[in-house]
Amino acid sequence: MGDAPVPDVVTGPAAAEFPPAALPPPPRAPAIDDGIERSLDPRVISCERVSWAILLAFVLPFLLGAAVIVAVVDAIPLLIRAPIAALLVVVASGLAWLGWMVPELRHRHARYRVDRDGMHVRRGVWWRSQVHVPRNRIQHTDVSQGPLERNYGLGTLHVFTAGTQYAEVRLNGLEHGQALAIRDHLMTAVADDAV
Amino acid sequence: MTPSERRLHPLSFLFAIGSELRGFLLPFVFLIVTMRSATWELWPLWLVLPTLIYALVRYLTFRYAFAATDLVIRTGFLFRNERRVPYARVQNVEVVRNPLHRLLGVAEVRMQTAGGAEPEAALRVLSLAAASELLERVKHEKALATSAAVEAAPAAGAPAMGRAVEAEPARTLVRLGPGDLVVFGLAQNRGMLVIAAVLGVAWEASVVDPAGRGGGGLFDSLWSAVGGRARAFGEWGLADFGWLLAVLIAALAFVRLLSIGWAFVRLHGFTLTRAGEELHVTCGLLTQVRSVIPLRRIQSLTVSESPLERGFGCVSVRVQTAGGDQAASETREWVAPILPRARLAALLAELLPEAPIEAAAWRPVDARARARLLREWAWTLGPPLLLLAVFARGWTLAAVAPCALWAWLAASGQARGYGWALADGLVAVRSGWLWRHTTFAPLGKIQVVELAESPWDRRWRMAGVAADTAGGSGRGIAIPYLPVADARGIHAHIGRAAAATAFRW
Repeated sequence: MGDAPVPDVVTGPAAAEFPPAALPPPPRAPAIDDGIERSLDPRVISCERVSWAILLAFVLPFLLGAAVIVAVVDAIPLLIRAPIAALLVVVASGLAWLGWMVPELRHRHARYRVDRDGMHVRRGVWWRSQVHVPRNRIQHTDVSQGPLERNYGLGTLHVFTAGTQYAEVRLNGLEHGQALAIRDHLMTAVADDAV
Repeated sequence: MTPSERRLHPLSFLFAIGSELRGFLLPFVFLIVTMRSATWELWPLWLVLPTLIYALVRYLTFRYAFAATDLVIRTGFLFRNERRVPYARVQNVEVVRNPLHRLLGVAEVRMQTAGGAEPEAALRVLSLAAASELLERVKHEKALATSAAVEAAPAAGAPAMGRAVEAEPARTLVRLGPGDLVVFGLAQNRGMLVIAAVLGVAWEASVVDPAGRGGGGLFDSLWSAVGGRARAFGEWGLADFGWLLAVLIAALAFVRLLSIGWAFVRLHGFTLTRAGEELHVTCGLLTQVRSVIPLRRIQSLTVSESPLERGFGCVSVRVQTAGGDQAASETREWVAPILPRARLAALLAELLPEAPIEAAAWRPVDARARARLLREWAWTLGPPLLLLAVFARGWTLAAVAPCALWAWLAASGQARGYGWALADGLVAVRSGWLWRHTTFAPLGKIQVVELAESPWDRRWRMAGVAADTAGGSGRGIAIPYLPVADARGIHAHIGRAAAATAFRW
């Protein structure tokens, strides 16, 4: 096989200066409002799964207990008992499966972006929505942490506007420091223009 | 807790308990009154415990501080929250002192920003000194912020609705005469309100007994009252159906008469005048109502047209307002309950100089919207037809053709009825086939804009755009069935334009 001539890797103006005379400047820390779309913190998946599990800890015993009772009672004929018990078990396992799958799906389809115009939040797996809150429409903000979120180091940013349907736009699953940083950045934008 | 953070007054706990317990007062009194010797009946009192704990936790963990540009409020132990309210955004500060407050030398301070019904920061309670300090500080910082903003951007500010008018005398924009009120009464069915009220009173006075004489008592008594012959439904002949039709038509006419009566009582002498930057509305026969709508409080404007109004060549115009010096609530108010179409252009020019009324400015939704709407109608009409097929096969065949015709007409009409327009500083959407609505909103009043895709939207490669304003009740800016590219463009444009124009509350 004929070899193509191997190109000289070190070509161009820099070649003459190798090694460079001075170190290149350190990379600038990414500004908050760089407009890059980011995902939520992956820990929010575990956090939501745990909160779903806590909820199911109350619901599943009822469903499974009802299934057992229905399966055991002799008064109802077997032809009716079996499907009902089976249905209850299916519903219970369905809820458990949803509790496992849904947080991951929601994380996969959630994005947020902060740029010069404001905050953009993309949520939703089947019903998708993209919400844009302009910087100067923000009235006030909240950063909240439930006990579970605190355990995972996450926080939720609430942005309030003068709107009605979107009086509050929530962004959960942010790392707590990141939530505070975004909040600080948006608040300085608010301070720049009044009323 | 940092040294600059302040806590609430120690007596806050008392006030917090008091406000929580007020909800329990009546049941508690009822319990005491009905309790006999058995003390176990007092167990509901334990329900009060969670609210007490909540009040205690809230008092113990409430801290506030003055940051450079905002007021910081931190609450909560298990569920922690840090709220920042910029001084510049505070619209209203209220200091509330009821007799108990006055007795104990404390005060409750409520701070409101634009939008929202409840105060964004409610400090229950502070000592008088702390309250006045908070008041002074917020006022001072707000004055600093607004003066700085005015210096920095003297030309900023959304184009307010309406042209600037200097010291002009009040101009009448709309005046309704009796003929207009008759048309309004006919076109808008307010008669049902009257009937509902009368029925309610009659029910209370036991004049109308719905469960008389074994099932269907109300229908039987009504039917015999209007002179129909008492026979079982299966035995009805043509004469009976004819009589039923006549009764229904008479009832409709009667309801319309009531509606005209309502219009006369409620909207007699309706006059809309413009005095400077305010609109004044006066109307009413028995109760004279006079309301003031500052032009800059108008968040959006809707022009509606029912089929009957269209028949008369009229429209009705409403505005959605927000906030005010009183409670910050949204309201929907008529600026013209009924208006001949020819005068619409003049009114809109008065209120919205940039309104795109020419048909050329309207852009349609996706070309396949009609097909999609047809399919949606099929899903709506299909199941009832199927049900009918199961029970009454003969009727089904007769019903299919009218249903198909209706679905076709409705889908075509609705798809044609949707439209959007983006003018300079204004967004407009229209919708509807028989009942048509057009909503205009200045871009300076848009708060949040959303691009939404349902699973079916994704299948049809369409999307919907919705813009939120502070005057949310009533028809907002929402347009479905857009081609995805158009939707993205509109979403981006509105977002950019809203970010570029300041929002004046």
